[in-house]
Amino acid sequence: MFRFKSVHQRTTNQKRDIRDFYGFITPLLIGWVVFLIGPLIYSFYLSLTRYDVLNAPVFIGFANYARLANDTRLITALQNTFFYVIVFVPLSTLLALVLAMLLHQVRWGKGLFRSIFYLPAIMPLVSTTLLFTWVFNYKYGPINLVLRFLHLTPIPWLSDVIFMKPSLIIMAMWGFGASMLIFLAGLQAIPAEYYEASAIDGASSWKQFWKITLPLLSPTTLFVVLTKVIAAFQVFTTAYMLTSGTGGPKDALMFVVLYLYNHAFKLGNFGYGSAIAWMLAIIIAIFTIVSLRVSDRYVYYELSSQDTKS
Amino acid sequence: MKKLFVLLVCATIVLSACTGPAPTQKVEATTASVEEPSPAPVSLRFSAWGNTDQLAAIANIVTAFREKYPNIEISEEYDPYDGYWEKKTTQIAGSTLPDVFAIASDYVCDYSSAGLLSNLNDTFAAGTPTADYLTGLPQQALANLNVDGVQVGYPFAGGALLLYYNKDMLDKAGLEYPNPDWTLQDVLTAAAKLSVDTNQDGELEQWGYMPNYLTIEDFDAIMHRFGARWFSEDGKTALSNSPEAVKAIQFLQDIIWTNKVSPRPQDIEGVDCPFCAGFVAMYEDGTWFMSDARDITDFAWDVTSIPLGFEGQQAGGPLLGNPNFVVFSKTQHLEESKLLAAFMASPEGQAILGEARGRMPVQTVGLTAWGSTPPDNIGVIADILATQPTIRESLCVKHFVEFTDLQYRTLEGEILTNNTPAAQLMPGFTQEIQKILDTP
Repeated sequence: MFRFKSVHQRTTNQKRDIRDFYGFITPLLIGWVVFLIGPLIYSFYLSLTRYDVLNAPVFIGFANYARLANDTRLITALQNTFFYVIVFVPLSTLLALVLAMLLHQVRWGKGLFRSIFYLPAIMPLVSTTLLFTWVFNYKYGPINLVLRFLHLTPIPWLSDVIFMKPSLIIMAMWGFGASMLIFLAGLQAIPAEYYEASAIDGASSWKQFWKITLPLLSPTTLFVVLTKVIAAFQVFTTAYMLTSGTGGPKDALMFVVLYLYNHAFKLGNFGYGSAIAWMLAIIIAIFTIVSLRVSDRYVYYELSSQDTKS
Repeated sequence: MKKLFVLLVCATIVLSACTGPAPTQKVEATTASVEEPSPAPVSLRFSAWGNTDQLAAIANIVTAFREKYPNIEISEEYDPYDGYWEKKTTQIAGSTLPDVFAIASDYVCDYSSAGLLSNLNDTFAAGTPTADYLTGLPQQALANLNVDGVQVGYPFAGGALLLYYNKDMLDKAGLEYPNPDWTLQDVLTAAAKLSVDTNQDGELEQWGYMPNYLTIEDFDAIMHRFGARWFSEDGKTALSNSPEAVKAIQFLQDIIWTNKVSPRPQDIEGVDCPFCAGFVAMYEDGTWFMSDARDITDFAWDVTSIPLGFEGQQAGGPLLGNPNFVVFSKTQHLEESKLLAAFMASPEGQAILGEARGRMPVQTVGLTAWGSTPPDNIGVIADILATQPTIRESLCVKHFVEFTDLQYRTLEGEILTNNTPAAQLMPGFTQEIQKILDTP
C-alpha cells in the first residue's frame, strides 16, 4: 500500500502528488468553508445574540439557550418531532422492507414494479402535499367518500388535532421508494447459497428470514434507519404547506424546524432561531452516535475472505 | 515566430484603442441652442406583493413610469403576500432591500424605527418633481405613514371592510338584501335561513355568514362591534380580557358551533374562496377582495357595509392603506427612487390602478374607473370612508408581527376549533399579548 514518508523523506514526486492533491480538493474545500463551516460558525455566533434583522446583533451570551427550557411551544414542537420520528421511521422502514422483499421474489415485470414504486420518491414534495390535501379533503377526498359510503363518520384529517399527525405520516410514507431500492440492493447482495443450504437443512421461510435475511441485511437497515431518522428530525415542507406555516390548530403540526423557521423568518428572532437549530443539531448528533455504538450488537458485517486470514 | 505575431496583433489593438478619431472637418459654430445631455441611466429595484390581477396593475404603472423616464431602468420583483415578509427579512439581513418596495401599514413603525425607510418630507415641497404627484392624496392616508413627524411612505391603495352578499341565494330564500342598518342579529337571522343541507346528507353545504379570518382588520371589527378593544390608545396595554371582548370571541365560536351558520374549518378545506365558490351567502372582506369578486360569473352579488353590533355598535370601516410604497434608506439612487414611489401614488398611477378595478385607489381620480359597477351598491364605500372611523386601533404597536402571529394561532387552535370557551381562553390570551407588548 502507498504510504507517505515523513516530510524530510518525501521524494520530489511525492511532494508534487501532495501539491496536486490539495490543488484538486481546494475548490471543494473553499465551497465547504464558505457554504458550510462559515455559516455554521456564524449561526453559532447568532445563537449567542439577540438579532431581529432590523437592528445589529446584541451579544447576550447563552440567554437564548436558557430560554429553550422554558419555551412551552418548543417543548410541543419537540414532542411532535419525536412522535413523528418514532412512528414514521419504523413504519416506513417496514413498508420499504416488505415491498423490497416482494419485489425480490417477482420474476416478471421487476423493472416495471420498481419504477412504479419509486415514482412517488421523485415527485416534488410540494406536489405530493398538494395532492394529499385533496386525498384527505373532508368533503371531497376519496378516503372520506369511502367512509360515507360505508355509513361511517367522515374524518377531518387535516383540521382535527388528533388526525393531523397521522395524516402527515401517511403522506410521508408515500415516498418509500428510495429506501425500497436500497433494501432491494441489500437483498440481492445476500448470497443465494445461504438460502439453499438452509433449505437443505429444513429451514422454513420464516426461519430463513430471521436467521439469514435480517442479519445480513442489518448494515443496510442501519443505513436506512439512520438516514430516515436524520431526515425525520428535520421535517418541515409538508407541515409548512398543510398549515401555511402556522403549525396548525394547537400546534398539532409544529415541528422543531418549522418553529425555528417561524422564529427566524416570521418573527425576526434570528438569534433564538439559531439556538433552536443548534439544539436540534446536538440532538441528532447524540442520536446518531448512540445508534452507531449500539449497532455493534445488532448489525452483522459479513467477514471478507481477507479478514478471516490470520 | 508565432508568439511574436500574436504580440504584434495585440499591440495593434491596444494602440488603436488609445488614439482618438482623426479630425475630419472643422466644427462650425452654430446659433442653435445646445441640447441638454440626457440624464445618466439609473437602475432601480422595485418590489410589491399581490395576486395576478393586482400585480398586473402595478406592472402597468411601472411601465408608464418607464415611458416617462426612459433613463431609469426598473427591475421588478413581484411575490404573493405569503412569503413576502420572509423574503423582506432575508433582504434586510443581506442589506439588499429593493430601492422602492411595498409595505403594509403593520410594518411601517418597526421598519421606520430600524432606520430602513427614507425621509420623504422634502418631496412635498413646491417645485420638486414629486410635488405634483402627491397633490390630491388624502391627508388621513398620508398621516398614517407619518412617524414622529417624518413622512416615510406614500399610500397606494385604501379601502374599507365590506359585507359581500350573494343576491341569488338571498332571492331564493326570499330574504331582503343586507343594508348599512343591519346589526349582527339581522345577519344571524338571515344566515339561519341561508344555511342549508342541500343534498340531505346531514351536513351543511351552504352557510349563511362568514367573517374573514385572515385579516387584522376583521379581528378589530369583531371586537369593536361588541364595544371591546385589543389595545389601549397608546398600544401599550392589552384590553382583550374585558367582558365585551369575551363576548366578541365567543360570538366567533358560536356562529360556527352553536348557531351553525358559518363553516367549520374542515367544511372549506381546499377552497380558497368559499364566497366565490357559492358556499357562503354573506361574507366580510376588504375592498381588496373586489378583484376576486369581479371575476365571479356564476351568481349576482353586491356589497354593503359590515353589520353593526347587536346594540348598534359601529365597527369602523376605513382601513389603513395597504399596500403603501416606501424608499429604502440605503438606496444608491435616492431621487429616482422617490420619483418612482411618488409616481405610484400620483394621479396618473392611481388612474391606471383604478382602471384595473382591483385594489381601491387612494386618489379620487382613480376612483372613477374603479367605482364602476359591479357591484351596484359600490357607492356605499364612499359613505363608509366619509362617516366611519378607521378600524385599526393603533398604528404603532410594538412587535405587531408577534401579536398577529399569536392572534392567528389562537384563532386556529381555540376559536375555530371550539376547543376552549372564550371565557376560559381570554385571560391567558390577554396575558400572552401583554407579554409581547412588554417586550423591549
